[in-house]
Amino acid sequence: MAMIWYQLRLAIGSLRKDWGLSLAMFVCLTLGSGLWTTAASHYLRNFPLDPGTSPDLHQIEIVHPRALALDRAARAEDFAWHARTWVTFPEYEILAGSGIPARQSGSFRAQVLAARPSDATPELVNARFVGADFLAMFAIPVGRGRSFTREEEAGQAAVVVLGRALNKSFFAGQNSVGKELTVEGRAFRVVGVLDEDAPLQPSWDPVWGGRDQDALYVPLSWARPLAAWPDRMIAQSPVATAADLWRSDTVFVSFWVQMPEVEMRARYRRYVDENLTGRGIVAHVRDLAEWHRAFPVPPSDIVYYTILLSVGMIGAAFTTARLLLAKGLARRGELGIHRALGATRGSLFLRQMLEAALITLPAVLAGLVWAAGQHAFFNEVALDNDIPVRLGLDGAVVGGVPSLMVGLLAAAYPAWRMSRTPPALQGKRI
Amino acid sequence: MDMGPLELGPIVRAAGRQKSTFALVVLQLASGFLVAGSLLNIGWWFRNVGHASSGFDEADLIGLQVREPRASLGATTGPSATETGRPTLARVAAVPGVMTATRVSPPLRAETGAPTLYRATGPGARAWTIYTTPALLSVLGLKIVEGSIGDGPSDVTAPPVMITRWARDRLFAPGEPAVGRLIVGDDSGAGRVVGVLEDFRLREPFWDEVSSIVLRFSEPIDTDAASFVVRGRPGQRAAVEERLRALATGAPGSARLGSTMSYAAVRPRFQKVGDGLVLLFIDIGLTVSAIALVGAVAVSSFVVAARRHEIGIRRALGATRGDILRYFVVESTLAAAVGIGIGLAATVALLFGMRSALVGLPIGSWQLGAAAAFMWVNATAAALLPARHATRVSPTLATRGG
Repeated sequence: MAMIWYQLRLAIGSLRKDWGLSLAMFVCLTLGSGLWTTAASHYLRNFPLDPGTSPDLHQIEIVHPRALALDRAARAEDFAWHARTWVTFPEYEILAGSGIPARQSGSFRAQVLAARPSDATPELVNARFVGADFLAMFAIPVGRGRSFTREEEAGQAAVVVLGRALNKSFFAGQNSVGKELTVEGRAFRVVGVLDEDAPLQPSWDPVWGGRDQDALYVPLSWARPLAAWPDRMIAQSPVATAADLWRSDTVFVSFWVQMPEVEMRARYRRYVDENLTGRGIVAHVRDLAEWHRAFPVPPSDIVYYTILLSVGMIGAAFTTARLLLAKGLARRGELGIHRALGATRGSLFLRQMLEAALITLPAVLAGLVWAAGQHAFFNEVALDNDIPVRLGLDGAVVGGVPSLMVGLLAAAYPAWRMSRTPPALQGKRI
Repeated sequence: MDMGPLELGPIVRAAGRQKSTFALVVLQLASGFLVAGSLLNIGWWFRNVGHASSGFDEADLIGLQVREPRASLGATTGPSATETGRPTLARVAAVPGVMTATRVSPPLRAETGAPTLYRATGPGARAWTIYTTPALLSVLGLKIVEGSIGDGPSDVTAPPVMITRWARDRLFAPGEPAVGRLIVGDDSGAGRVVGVLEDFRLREPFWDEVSSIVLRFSEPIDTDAASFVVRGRPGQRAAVEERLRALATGAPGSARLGSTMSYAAVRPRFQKVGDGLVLLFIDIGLTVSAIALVGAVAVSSFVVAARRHEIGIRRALGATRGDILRYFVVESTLAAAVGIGIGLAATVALLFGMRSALVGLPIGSWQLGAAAAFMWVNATAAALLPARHATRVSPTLATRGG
């Protein structure tokens, strides 16, 4: 311990002696680490490490050949999500009528007119009509208040849960639980507010990946009274009125069930076979892992930006290595004297590495701050939806830890080179 | 010792003696070129796409959107646009200062939705369907190149459509007449072509079919809000917009949404995002340049430090300070040439890969040239500083044995 402390003091002294080179290394590593952390946050926003959802979740894919053809004709494979992850309302009613799963929820998105009672000007916002279990199933934390209950949903209580963004724009981010707003001209009471923005790729409805988040959550039982008109639905047959929509073959409902027990899953599969497959409807029950394999997050140009920005980090590492080499070369004589006085190669290597760590660690922290600034800049000038990029714990870890490792790795070769400096006597090599 | 400008032998040999250092410089410059070259190309693409002309005069054009509370319309209604569209259009047309107006679905700057696959006699093509009326032609000032609005029989099952030249060239064989023929859209049904229009654009940047448009003169089927496009009299845009807003929102306290938007004054969202990304790329480019500059200075310092003895010998043998300076600058240029070559190959590969995500991404020669020039200046500037120190090495250093 005393040895390390001694080496640490020597390393600090060395850093102060060549403060110009130390500063250059710090700047390089800060910028390199900042670039990498910026890229990591953007990457994780598109491809999250763990969506935090239960592996017991299952989705039932019903093949809609006509909708699939429309989807594929419209453009690329990702649009086939409409046909493959959505069901019609009559199918939803069959699927939801089993009484088997521990939790279940259908949901769909519709634009609704919403306004604060005091504000005469309504806005079109993205409402998600959901079952009472929805938020719990997808582990969406209700920061303030609560979600609505099954009883409230069944009894058509006029209650809503606000998303973070809408709460910010309607109620300045304050606790709005208990306050009122109008939806399609009717008064609703806020019972809960989400503290976090929705993920960019919501697993509950991948059709909306990359778009604005759900602004508020309304009980599904309100869909008919409000004559909600689903957004981006696939009308397989023409639909003339809202009443027609509910009994039509238009696909628009995303339906999930949560089944933690094996026996429950087996019973539900039998139920699906009897009630849907028996009627000639092709249905697949998929658990979450299988679902993720079937519906991966689509490729994004963020992968290329991540490659580009990682080049910046690698460049910073090269620069650091060279700066350390230059530094070591300039102090070869001094290192030779240390060797002549009995310092081992190992101790010289340790000192160089400590010196590198003393620069790398604060540089990585400064890089995190720099990345947070970059996120703020991006959110201000280039955000293409209402889900801001933030430096979360995952981004800090994925950004910071590799930066630290790269910084130390960059120092390893110069430290090894310096540790091989031969002993010197009176300034001359011996 | 006189080192002429073409005497590269000693420089190449010196680089060869320090392979790892030289390789590091080359890698640094190659990676710098990769970042600078890629960002210049991508930034230029975003800028061009975001600012591409729509192909019609936007000066006095106003967009209007009206949305009634659906609950007030009842469950027996269809999309609220159907209920509010027709009566509102009549009122819009009567607003003082309005020259001409029509309904459009989706709005001309719609940010969501998908094109439809149409088939005729050719291989088929994706096209953006706009449900509207023939009045759109006069509102936007679109030019008919074939046919006319009155051409062709009226048919409920195949309403009249007009297609852009871009769509015609892909739906029909070369030289084949389009007017009078049927086209069938996968989700919009059949339509009879009554005319072909000069190309215009929807200005949605992430599609390569922005000029592939079908104007379908029939009622929209699934739109929730009624959208209109209005041309005001020249110079009266602000006043007309104000009147339209008052008309659309109705009485104070009304639960109806009425919003207006001036096409000339309001930048579309993707244009703002495109401009923002250009700023962001400049920011990142400058950051990477700073790293590259510090790196280049570092390596030059290293090279000079490593060669103090050699420089001393050269000075002792008669090399002038200018010779020493030139020696390092030429060496840096050599490294820059190799680094830029490698960086160029990597950049072209990366940009090719990105074309799947950014449709029509160019690989521009001026962008690559600018990146090359920038990296060369960067490397030379970085070499000059330590090289100036090198020229101050005393010839007596050679006698000290390093």
